[in-house]
Amino acid sequence: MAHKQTLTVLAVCGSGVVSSSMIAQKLEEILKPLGVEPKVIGLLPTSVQTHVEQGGIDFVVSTSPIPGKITVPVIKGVALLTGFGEDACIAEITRVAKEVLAKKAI
Amino acid sequence: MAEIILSETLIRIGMTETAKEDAIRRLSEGLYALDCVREGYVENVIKREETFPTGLPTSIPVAICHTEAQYVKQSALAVGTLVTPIAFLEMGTPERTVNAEIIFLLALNDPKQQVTWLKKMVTIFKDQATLRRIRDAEDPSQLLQMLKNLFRAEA
Repeated sequence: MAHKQTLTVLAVCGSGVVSSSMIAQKLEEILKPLGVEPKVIGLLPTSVQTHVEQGGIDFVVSTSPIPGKITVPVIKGVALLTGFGEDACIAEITRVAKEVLAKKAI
Repeated sequence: MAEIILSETLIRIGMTETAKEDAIRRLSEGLYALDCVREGYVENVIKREETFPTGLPTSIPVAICHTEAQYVKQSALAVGTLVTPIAFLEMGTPERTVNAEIIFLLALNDPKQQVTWLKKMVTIFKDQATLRRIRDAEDPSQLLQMLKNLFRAEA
């Protein structure tokens, strides 16, 4: 198999670290079976717009509302911490990841 | 992984406070007593809770209050159970509130290295039976033992 595709994901929470770290773990579990090498970056909500504008970000998973205009998919990630609605959240992350991968393959 | 302290001094069973600021302050007393946190820790936890609320709509609602690592000298976890649930704004959806029955007050000075710990917390949040046992613990030593088993168990 050719080298793995990468996906760069922002994991966002109020501290940029605590909930982000919890989400990053889940993201790896969700994305690796898709044959993806995920790169997860923890970030504060206020830093997201600038970071996305610089390019290279495939999508965002967040436990906090994010200010500004974000031009990549933003997925609410609290369900990954509570278990409630987790399946729907995982399904959405998987769907978005696959869409991004399909576009990259073109 | 930097060690995270669990101690009876950090446990409060059956807190009677009805305002979240009071409950957080009360629960933080042990962290100060054990010299785990710096001056300004609890004020920043409370302030942070206003802008980045930590209420989780888990099967038994909880709050996971914390603040930046700079206020923490020694990582530790304080846990408090409430006699009367207290409303916390819901994480990520602040138009909603959750009536928290348990408060987890985190003092982490190196969260990136302490991910295993955080991962275990997520496992706890998703398990109603565990949350119920924590909430219904009758004395601090019992709850302490429960927490030690939960966190020390190999992943």
